[in-house]
Amino acid sequence: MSDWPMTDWAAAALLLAGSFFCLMAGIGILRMKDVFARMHAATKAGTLGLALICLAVMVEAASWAEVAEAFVVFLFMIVSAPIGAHLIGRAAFRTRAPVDPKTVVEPEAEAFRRRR
Amino acid sequence: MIIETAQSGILAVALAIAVLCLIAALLAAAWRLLTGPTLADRVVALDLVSVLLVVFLVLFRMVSGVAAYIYVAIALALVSFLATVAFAHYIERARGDSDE
Repeated sequence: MSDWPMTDWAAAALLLAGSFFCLMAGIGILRMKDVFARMHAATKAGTLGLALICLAVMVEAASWAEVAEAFVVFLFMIVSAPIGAHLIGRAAFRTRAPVDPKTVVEPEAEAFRRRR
Repeated sequence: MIIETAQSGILAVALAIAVLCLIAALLAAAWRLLTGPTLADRVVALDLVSVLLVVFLVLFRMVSGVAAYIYVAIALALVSFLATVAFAHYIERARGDSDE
């Protein structure tokens, strides 16, 4: 039971937490009602899920080079994910993607939408 | 053990559970990609699939013990960002509300 090193326990906990967030992103993209709510669910995998699993790789790394490689993966994803999500959300809003009936849209935002 | 890994003990169990969770999330994203009511839904699902594949490659670097897989993850992260930007551009250029 206790003959495994402490880093194994820490990495296992980080792996389980990270894969839990990825599973929640998968369930969220199935269950949510409209595009924007689905985007809200899907971005959990790219930020928290990837961060925790990269952290598990860093904990188990044999050298500092492996730590840096895992950090580069995470760094690139955390830089590019908000830009991609912003572009998809803007495109969905401008092309009048259907939203949940309970959604309230401010009247000023209508001017931003593409003319039909 | 379900999956043969380069690790052992508690870490192998955690890796097996993580891989199963990721496969379930990939199937959910693939279902939304195939049935998504609007074009934007499909692009969000495709983005999630590529993010989950990056996570899977980082995980597979631990499962297999082959260090080269993390370079594949870096390359896939670069390519999938460009794909997302291009698809967002084509949604705005597409005619009508959705693709049906």
